[in-house]
Amino acid sequence: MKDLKPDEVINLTDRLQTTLKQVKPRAEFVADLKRKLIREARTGQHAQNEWKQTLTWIAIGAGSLIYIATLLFVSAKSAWWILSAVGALLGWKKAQQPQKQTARVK
Amino acid sequence: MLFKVKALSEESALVERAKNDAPAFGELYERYVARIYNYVYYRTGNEHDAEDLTARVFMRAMKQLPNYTDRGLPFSAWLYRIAHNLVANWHRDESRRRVVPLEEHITHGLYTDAPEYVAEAREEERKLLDVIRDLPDERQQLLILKFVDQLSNAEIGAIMNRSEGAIKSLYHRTLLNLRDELEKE
Repeated sequence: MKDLKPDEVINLTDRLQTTLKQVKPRAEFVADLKRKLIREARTGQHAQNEWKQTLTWIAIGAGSLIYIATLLFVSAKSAWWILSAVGALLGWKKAQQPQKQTARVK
Repeated sequence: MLFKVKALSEESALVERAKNDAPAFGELYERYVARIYNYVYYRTGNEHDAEDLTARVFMRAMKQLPNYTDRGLPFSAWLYRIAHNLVANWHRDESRRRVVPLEEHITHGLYTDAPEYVAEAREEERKLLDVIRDLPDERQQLLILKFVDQLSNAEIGAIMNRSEGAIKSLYHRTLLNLRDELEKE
């Protein structure tokens, strides 16, 4: 393949410059497409915001349920310990009472 | 160089806003619609398909914008990539058309309206456009960016993700290609 001569480069460049010119798109097409794109963008953003809101509410709901369940569990466990402790205390006191009575009788 | 960095930062800020703000996307659209239209027009050869594909480029850009990451390249590089892929699909799906609406071409640069001159000029342009459309995609893209968008080799390199030297070399090979094909015609 023989290399380009300077005049060939000039000739081709001129032809390309003459042929490949900026073509203006129709003003109506540009305006219509812009309106359509903005409308679609707004619809898309609205749907995205709604979806985000829904996810947020689900997260809050799930979080609240877990919190309440934890509280109940802890409360129940605490109540059980308290009852056990009270029960143990009562049992000890009862065990103590017959010994005192026996001592009095004597 | 500093101006270029500033321009890219300003554009990056606009792109980020456009992800969540419809009017900001409208601003991006206005910046690039003519360039994308020209690229698609010369790749397809007719106004109807150019409009259809331009619309699809921007629809796709809008849907994929949330996933766009700034890698330091002009935003136009991303748009041209979308346009390139859609045009490639169009060529695959449609039969090659050689509709050349010359009305826009013949009104420019003609200093006489003598019919024989006009007819000859039309024929020359038709030949050249036919040869251009037979070139590989990247060479067509290079010619459109260089002559239609009037971009420098450095700017073209940024869009096509090549060095300035690689673009110069590609341009030289493209001219060789054109010369050889035109000699055959």
